Amino acid sequence: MTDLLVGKEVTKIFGGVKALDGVDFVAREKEMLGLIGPNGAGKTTLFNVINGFYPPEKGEIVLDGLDITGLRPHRICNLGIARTYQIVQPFSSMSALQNVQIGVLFGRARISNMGQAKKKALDWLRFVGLENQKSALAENLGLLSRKRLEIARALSSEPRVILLDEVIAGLNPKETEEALGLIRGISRELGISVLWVEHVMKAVMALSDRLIVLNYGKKIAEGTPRDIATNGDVIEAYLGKSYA
Amino acid sequence: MRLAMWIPIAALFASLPFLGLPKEMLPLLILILMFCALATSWNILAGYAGYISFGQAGFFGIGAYVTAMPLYYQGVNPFLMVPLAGVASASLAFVVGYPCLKLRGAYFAIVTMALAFILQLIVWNVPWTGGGVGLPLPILTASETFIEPIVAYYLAMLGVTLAALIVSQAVENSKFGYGLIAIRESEEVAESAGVPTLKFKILAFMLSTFFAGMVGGIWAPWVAYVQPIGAFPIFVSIYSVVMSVFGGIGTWIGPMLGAIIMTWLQQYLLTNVRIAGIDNIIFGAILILVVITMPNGVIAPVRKLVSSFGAIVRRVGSRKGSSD
Repeated sequence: MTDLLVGKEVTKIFGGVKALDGVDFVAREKEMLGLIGPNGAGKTTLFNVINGFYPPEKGEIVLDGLDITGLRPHRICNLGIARTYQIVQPFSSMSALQNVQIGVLFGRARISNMGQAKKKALDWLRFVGLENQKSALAENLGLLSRKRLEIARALSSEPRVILLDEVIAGLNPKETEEALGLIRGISRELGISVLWVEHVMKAVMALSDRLIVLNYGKKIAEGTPRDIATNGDVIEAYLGKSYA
Repeated sequence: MRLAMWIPIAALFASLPFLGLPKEMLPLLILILMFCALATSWNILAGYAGYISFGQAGFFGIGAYVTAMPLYYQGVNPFLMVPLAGVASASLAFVVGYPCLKLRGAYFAIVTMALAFILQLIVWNVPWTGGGVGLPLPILTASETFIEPIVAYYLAMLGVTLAALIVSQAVENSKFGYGLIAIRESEEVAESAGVPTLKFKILAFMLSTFFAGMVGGIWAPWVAYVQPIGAFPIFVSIYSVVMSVFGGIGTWIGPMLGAIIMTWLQQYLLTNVRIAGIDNIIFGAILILVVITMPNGVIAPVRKLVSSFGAIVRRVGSRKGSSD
């Protein structure tokens, strides 16, 4: 598998705090790359840097050979990186279908014909299992549906890499199963690289091809789920020194 | 195809003065059209993108002076200057848009309101605008306007209003409009979903002020006098907001509806109820009532009625069809 999204020595400083401190990472094509770490490790900050919301102080982000460091978020989306948010943020007063149309119209696909965009959007709603609620306003959907909607909107921009920020947080076990099935589909069926942050270890360990572990803005480990589970530094970061 | 529906409407309204409509009605119609255009264009930025501007008066005033000054100094036909009035306003929106549109909510409202006051102060203090005294404009004659001047003003205002409505309707159902609505819902998410938010906001601001400038440009020679207080009327800013909220913000039809009802009501009150400020008292009361009972404007219940009526018609139609 070839490298698709590469970060080199990514550093982001907030005031005196190094939220990210020289983080190197590589997301390969069609790979599920898990991003884990204790609270405040810098996971969401890394997403915000990749996504273009925070230009990094140092380092660069390269998407398939193209330096995208410092580009505006909409440009980065156009080039093929989509994301979802930890706290789902659909366009509340728009219908589910319209939400997804935004992704189709403005994403990498850049479809300008409204009728064509509607058809495409409907396909994506079907993919995430929301076609029955296409006319429902986003604000009236339940949490799982809103998460599905957010994934549909991200997918509809036809990204090459998708950043998923704690998709299964707040879901019950049954909903979690459904959401994980969907995430697996993104990588296996659509062949999109998935970079995902998740706190539910069972899920990340089971689904990810590789993992990156952040702690206090530094990368402390990288490797297959099996390597990570036995890595001393990781155990220390999560459980404390006496367990390592 | 949507454009086709406007042709009969335009033809009907354009022919009114020639079909025996009393000339005394024209000033009221011009005023209604004027507020229609102001509210409709205001709504392009505020209703779709969610940026509530209180600066329409500033752009209206720029338009007024762009036609007034060449008319005063050189006798330039003001109707030729009307498009330029729009361009001047939109150009200013382009320049101030970048810093202003970084602010949201009340901050944007305040900075746009301040902009209108600043423009007023500039005009007040620059000698060649006539300063505080203003410029008395020559009253146009029929030989200059080809038809009776009041009819010419009516037709010009009608043209600008229809253009504003057509543009607003087109925006509402376009990719651009969807992008603006996404910005209103969540600017950060819109940006990350690929919407070029800054570009879209500035474009919407320019469209919105373009029409305000043209309206001001027609208004100045019509009243034949420009002066800083009169040409930057704060009520133009406020009415653009109030009428749109009354009619239904975020729809192309709502602001038009609000402007028609409220302008007519205001003129009725001013001529029939002789109490100073009665219009504002009643407007305030109506606005409170509308915001409490119909937060989406009077267009919302009307739309509901129309769609349920449509459903009934369809049901009756299908029943007939099945019994045949």
